[in-house]
Amino acid sequence: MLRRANIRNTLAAQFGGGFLTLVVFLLSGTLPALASDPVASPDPPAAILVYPYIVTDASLGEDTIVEVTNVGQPVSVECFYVGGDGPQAQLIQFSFHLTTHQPVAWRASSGLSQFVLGGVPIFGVPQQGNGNSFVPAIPSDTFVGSLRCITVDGNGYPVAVNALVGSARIEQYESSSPQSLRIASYRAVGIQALPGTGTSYPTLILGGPGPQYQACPSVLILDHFEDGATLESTGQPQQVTTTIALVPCSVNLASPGDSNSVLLLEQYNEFGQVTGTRQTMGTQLVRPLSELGAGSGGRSLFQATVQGTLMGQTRITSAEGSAPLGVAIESHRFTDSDHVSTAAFTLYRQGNSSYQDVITFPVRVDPTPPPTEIPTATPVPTATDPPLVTATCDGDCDGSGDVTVVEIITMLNITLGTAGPSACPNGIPAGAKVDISLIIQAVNHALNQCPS
Amino acid sequence: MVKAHGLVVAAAILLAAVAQAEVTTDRSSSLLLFPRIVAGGGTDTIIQLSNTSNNGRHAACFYVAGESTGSPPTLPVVRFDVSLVKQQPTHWSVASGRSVDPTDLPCAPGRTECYGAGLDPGTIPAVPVFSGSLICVELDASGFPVPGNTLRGRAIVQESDGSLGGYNAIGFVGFDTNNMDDILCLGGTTDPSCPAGAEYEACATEWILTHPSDGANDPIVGTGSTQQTVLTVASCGADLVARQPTPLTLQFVLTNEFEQSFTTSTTVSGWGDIPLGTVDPIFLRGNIGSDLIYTNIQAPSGSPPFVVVARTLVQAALDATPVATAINLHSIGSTTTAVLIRLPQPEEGR
Repeated sequence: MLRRANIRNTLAAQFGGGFLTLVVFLLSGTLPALASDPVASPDPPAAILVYPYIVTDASLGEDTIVEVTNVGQPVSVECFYVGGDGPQAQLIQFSFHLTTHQPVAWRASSGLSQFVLGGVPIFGVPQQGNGNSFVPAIPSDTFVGSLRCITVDGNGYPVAVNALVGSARIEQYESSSPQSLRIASYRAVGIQALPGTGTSYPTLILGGPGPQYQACPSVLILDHFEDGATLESTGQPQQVTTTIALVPCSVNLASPGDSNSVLLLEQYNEFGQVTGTRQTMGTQLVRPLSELGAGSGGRSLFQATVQGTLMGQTRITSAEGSAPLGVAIESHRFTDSDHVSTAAFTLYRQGNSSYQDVITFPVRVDPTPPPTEIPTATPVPTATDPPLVTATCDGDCDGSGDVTVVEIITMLNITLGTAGPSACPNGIPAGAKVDISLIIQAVNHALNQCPS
Repeated sequence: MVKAHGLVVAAAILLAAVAQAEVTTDRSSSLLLFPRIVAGGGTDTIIQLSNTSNNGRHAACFYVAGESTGSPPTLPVVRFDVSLVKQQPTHWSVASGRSVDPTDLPCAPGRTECYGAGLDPGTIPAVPVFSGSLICVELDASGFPVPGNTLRGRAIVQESDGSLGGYNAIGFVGFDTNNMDDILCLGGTTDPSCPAGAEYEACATEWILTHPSDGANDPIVGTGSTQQTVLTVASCGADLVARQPTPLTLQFVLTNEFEQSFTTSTTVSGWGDIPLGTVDPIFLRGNIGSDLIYTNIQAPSGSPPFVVVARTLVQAALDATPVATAINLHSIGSTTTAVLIRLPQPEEGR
């Protein structure tokens, strides 16, 4: 990894004290003008997805639903959870295969032991199923970390296929009275492979000389309410707090605990005044804003009562080490009811870092085999032809007691060969073949009713 | 507002190679579209707007109502101007607006209810009851559109149940080709309306979203819970002079976890909330057959493009209040013909 030590020394020196007011006037031009980048739009599908904040906490009823979708042709995906820091850093590696346009989602705490198209080959095409796909459960009750997913070929080597989009949904659910549910969703940060540049193994080059992937941002921008800000929207007073979750764009997955960056946080309030602080980051930085930039009086420069305004814009840059990527989780506590609502958002990226960031794969290991005993709490159809039960109603694929248009279409798909018999586990009599007579029978059941 | 088209037609559709999208939700731009702005009935929207440059910046913003009123019916449009000093963030509540009041006291220990503290961006009218979209266009000091690419926006929608739905404004980067007239050209090539060609990035041709099927259990809450996804769609182009709604057609291609594809469509008169379950029963868990759906949304050829945000409502139990969470969609591709945003002349309120 190229280090940024001694880069921007002048600016970094200004932030030597943890909490330092730099400039208290509006129009001094101390910062370089930053051009926007109209070319590298981050919204399209990408080859690398970064989820900066994955959390599970069984005691709080907190968990994360991770979603990944392949918007292109069949592709394999290698993923890495990174949790902890320094010598305690923990890497969980897994891989899965996605079919054309296939979405997949899992709870971080429980993983996904059985993909819906788990058998290979499917429909006679070896790469069309979810064979050898497995997402492990995070093996601890409490986890705070990040997730990176990268498109790879069937052998686990990176490929320049921009086919992934993803999101994460953090939920905290308390079923006991009073029941409460908080939800915050954010989109994964996508990093696109550049056309015609190829990939390499075990290092992926992001930006800088000889890039294979989009560069990391030069500036990360957080628009936020100051901690403790009181809003009265909808007539209900609410106090706002914000937690940021940052991860380095570069990571050595062979030794994730080695990550070390120094970040500069420059904050502008609604008077246009700027204050700043610096912060170190290891594998991840998850911190309420109110715990950052504390001065000698213990008060954070991210507090409304320090800034004097309710909103701030914080620009985050790297003084040393990798550029950051990140998300923020905003909490509103209604002071009348103590009810808390949350929202999450991906931080803005501005400009492209001129430095080279790299992602280094860990030493290859054999793919983790799926467990021999698969939980059966939620039975799902699989691509491999399951033993067909004796149908009580031709065409009633889900066994609901009636036949819908969708089920008839499913049977048509089976006839056409675009779906397997497993797509209609309850609607095909044992030993029967899906043909026109069976479909007509199903249509009759749709128009009338299933035999009792 | 929403008219569902009938029968679902099954289709195995393999989409062509992915083209690069142009619109952005996490970079600074010269034109911002906020598809969903609501106020009233226990809801409100807080707008955050920031200048990311080291110079002062200006913008004209327009609340565009989702439904026509009056005779002849036109879309109510409320215009206001915003000025920000370098790097200045600002915010306002749609229902409350924000007045220019130099005597606003700054926040201080014991005084955290300090709405209005800071440099006021301009007089922002209160719109106590509103459903529609917001358009903000970067201007120079004389009031002409410029491609400074310094604006960023975010909306935090407070639902009547107290939950929050935050999304980033959809941004369009401006080009140096901008001729600073009243017609903003999003994409396209040179034509009489756009003598300089594209002045802003093009509208997206496709929006993609992975979402739970309607009625699927929330994986964390578990049995007894249900989920529902609602899109809010607004026209990508706008004629703020004629103020007529643009009929929009949305074509959906759904793919379930079994790689089965289905299509359906619906129409919207310019702006609307679209609960997917009302578009077609195929969005229901019992019909699509899987918990997750990958949905691709396009305008048919020749039909006006649109912008979209989504929110998912989770109901922990039958008698529980739904909790909402919002998310931006991904976009793919860009329109090849220009989409126009026509601004009012100065005498029309510019």
